[in-house]
Amino acid sequence: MTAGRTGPVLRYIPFVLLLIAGTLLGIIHDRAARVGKLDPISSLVRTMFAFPATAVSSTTRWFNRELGWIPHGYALEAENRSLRTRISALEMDNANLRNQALLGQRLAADLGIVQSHSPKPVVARVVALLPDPYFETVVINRGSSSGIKVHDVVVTPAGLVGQVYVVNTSTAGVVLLTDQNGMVSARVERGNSRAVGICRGNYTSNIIMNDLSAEADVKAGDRIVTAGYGVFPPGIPIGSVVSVSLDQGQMNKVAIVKPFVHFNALDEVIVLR
Amino acid sequence: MTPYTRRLLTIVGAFVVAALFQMTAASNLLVFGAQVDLPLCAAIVGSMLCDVNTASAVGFASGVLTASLAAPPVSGFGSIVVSRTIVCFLIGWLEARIVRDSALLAPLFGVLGTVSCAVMFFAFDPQKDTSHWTIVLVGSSLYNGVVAIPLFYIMRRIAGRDESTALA
Repeated sequence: MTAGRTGPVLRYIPFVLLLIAGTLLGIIHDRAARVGKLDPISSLVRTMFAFPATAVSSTTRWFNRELGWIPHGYALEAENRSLRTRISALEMDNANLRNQALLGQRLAADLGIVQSHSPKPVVARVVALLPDPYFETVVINRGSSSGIKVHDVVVTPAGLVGQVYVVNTSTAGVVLLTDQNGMVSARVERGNSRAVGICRGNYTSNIIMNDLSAEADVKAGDRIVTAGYGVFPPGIPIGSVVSVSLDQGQMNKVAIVKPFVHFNALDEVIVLR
Repeated sequence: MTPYTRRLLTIVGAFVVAALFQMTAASNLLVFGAQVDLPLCAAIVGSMLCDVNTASAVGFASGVLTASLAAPPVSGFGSIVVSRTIVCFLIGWLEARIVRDSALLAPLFGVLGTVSCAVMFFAFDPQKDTSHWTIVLVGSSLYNGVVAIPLFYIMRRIAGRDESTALA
């Protein structure tokens, strides 16, 4: 494993060729990414690793399901009781909401309001969760063959996860709401407040909601949902406000929002297409 | 099997395990919010076990693997590949000429290699939020430095020592 007796220039030719190959790969990747596609090399790597990663996470999940209750013991009994109480309350809420929905439909029909097309969901499993410390992205095991396209919205029952930014046949890349490139128009969901702002990721577990006017009615504990501008449908839960302050210029308010979704524990997600 | 083949197979095996671990478990093993970058750590340690050109190839492979899986949302694929290729080349060069198979250097290379990769990436492809980027970098590099110690012993044990260059 030595360089041998080749001259100093020739000795490092493989290194130089690799640098050129890396640069070319980057150019090919960026060109493909601009139209929401993966370059052939990335596509191959993802397809190769998707199956074993799914197998590993399924095995881990099976062990957690079958044996994970053992160390928790009595805590589960208490959790069960509290969950039963919560289910009863939620069932009542559900019945109320169904009545409200029917009423809403009747009113919409009377007023001639055209209902927006509701997206079709596709359930996908996360095969690579935050694979790089610097980018808040995940890879899911559904791609264009399942009808997934760039800009499709990704959610869990808890709330908004992010948006599809790149797709190949069998996988898709999702940029999370916590990434610095993640951005969504959002509003406060409280009776008399309809304050609207922009939620952006900033590498931390919380999200920054800015572009709120200085008079915006927003306070700690407020629930934040998608505003419905752009690709995100309205009303998807994002998180709750932790704190509110004025920005550096004292012109706008900035809210710190704790997301409802636990991004480090994503397992299955729903893609709205 | 020649010692070279054995080392190469060890590095390839380490890459596969590191990538699978990174994809499925790394985000659940945060230490003070810092996340390990196992494919990079495996590349750095792998570069300590081989010659300069193989080390470049190891860095290149690590870059392609990470960039393919993480696929930065805007750009930066080439920056990841090139920065890792250069760093692993430098580690391979240092190993061949100066330091020679020393376990003491594994954590140092783990930290400095991670920092160098990130700094080069930042130079090629500046990021919006420098302060948070720096925080992630500090955490990740220290974490990689710690993980490099057992990884070096495991990989060297499987790969076998390079008796022609070993001093430690």
